[in-house]
Amino acid sequence: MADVENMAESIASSTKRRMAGVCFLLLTALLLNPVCSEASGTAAGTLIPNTASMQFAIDGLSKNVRSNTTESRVDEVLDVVVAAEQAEAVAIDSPMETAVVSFLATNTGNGVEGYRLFLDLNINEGGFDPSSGGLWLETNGVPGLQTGAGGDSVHVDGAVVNLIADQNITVHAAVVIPGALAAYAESLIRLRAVSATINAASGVNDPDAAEFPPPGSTFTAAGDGGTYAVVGSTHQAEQPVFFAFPGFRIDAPTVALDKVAVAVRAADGTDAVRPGSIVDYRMRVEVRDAGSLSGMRLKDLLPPELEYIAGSLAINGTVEDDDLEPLGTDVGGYDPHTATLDVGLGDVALADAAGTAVHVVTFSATIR
Amino acid sequence: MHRIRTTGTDSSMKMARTTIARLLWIGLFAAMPAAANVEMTTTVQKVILQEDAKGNSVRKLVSADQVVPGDTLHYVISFSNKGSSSVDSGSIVITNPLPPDTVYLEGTAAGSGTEVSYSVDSGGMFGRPEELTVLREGERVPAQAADYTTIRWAFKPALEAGKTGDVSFSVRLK
Repeated sequence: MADVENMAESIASSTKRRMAGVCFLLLTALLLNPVCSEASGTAAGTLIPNTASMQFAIDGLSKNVRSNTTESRVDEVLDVVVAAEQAEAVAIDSPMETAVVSFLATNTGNGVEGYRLFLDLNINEGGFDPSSGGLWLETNGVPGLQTGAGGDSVHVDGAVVNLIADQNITVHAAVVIPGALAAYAESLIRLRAVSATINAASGVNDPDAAEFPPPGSTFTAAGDGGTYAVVGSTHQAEQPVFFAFPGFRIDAPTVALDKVAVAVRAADGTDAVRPGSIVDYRMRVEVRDAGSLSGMRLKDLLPPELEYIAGSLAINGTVEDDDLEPLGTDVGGYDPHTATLDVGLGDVALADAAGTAVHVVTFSATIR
Repeated sequence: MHRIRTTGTDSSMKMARTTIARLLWIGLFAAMPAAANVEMTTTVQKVILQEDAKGNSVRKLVSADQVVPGDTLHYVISFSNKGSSSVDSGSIVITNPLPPDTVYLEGTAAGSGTEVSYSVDSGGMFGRPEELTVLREGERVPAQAADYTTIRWAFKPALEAGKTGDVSFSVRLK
């Protein structure tokens, strides 16, 4: 029996490492949802009055008195939350003319505010940057990005979009994916939304910047109705909820392994399965779907009922010796101590319809 | 420096009225019972949490000029007997409908010598927290602090001439 489990495990672990970035995306997206659904609170400019009254009696004669009225005015909180609409990385081709991810930008403040929307493509550390890209505002009511006549609206990078409290807008990012990307290549892009009031007052348009006004900073008369404008907590640079990081990833390769007993040869010339009969095995390995895999190794643990026939191992039609030492072209062998066939296939390219890059390993064993 | 406005009057009108009132008092004093002059003042401050030198979180009261959703507002209602007669014991009842767009913060209503009760129907009926119920999804359930619409303080002692008292409560701005 081929040790499919072993191989599957090693592939899974390499996939896991490469998927780490993607899982982070998923986590970020999940964290966002509760924030998005939160109501933004009492509207900026609202007056909160309070008056108390008192009933009392003097010598049994009942009287009333009212207090003055206090008034507190509600300031405008500048808050915005951007969330990716995709929970996971979006699969792409390389190259690809238009890859689209969508974001939802929500005014979680309590007033009418303009938010400058920017598309950031060059935020990758180790990943690839899309060649170019642009933003589109969802304006035609049809889900997804439609360009051309009757389609969504082009958004000039950094232009202001006005949102009333609790209002949100779907923003599509359409980017060009470069060619010749390796399997698992990843890219992160982000939609950056910055309050126009904060930007105008501070000159800063990146909440990650050290000079971005911290939460609680106020700007006199910059809020709705002449109220103070107050920097809200979601602009805090450290809060991952402010940015969403959807990404692009080349489809992952998968490995297909198929092992068959192609012939049984008994001593009497029949194909009877009994002690002493010889079984010829063939294993086919190929990479499917997309990409390629490097350092692939095939291991096959023989059960106690089978005895490996020395010198029967062949890889892609070439007979291999049983020695496991990796000398010269010797890439495989048989270890009698562990009863394991061990074949190093190295870098394996994507299989095509013509059968290129399909690896065939054959060997024979005697039934004990 | 909280924002306090006296509704419906400006200072010159108030002065004029006071002068007329004084003249009336002088004219009518002999015929009138003792003056019933009890005054009430409401003030509001914002509650913030600050770290002291030891890193402990400390409650601090600051101006409520600037408030934002989520802020805690602390109201103090002071009353003062400016008249010459004592106010009857057990007769003082202070009522404060909760300010709009706010939620009462459980357990914050206080006042020395008072018994606090709450209403969940805009002052129709008052009761202690455990006595109040509301209809939620067709079922009558115990009321939560967020259901309260009005607070009432019953001040037990007599309020003698020249004496003062106060009650207070806190809310969170929605």
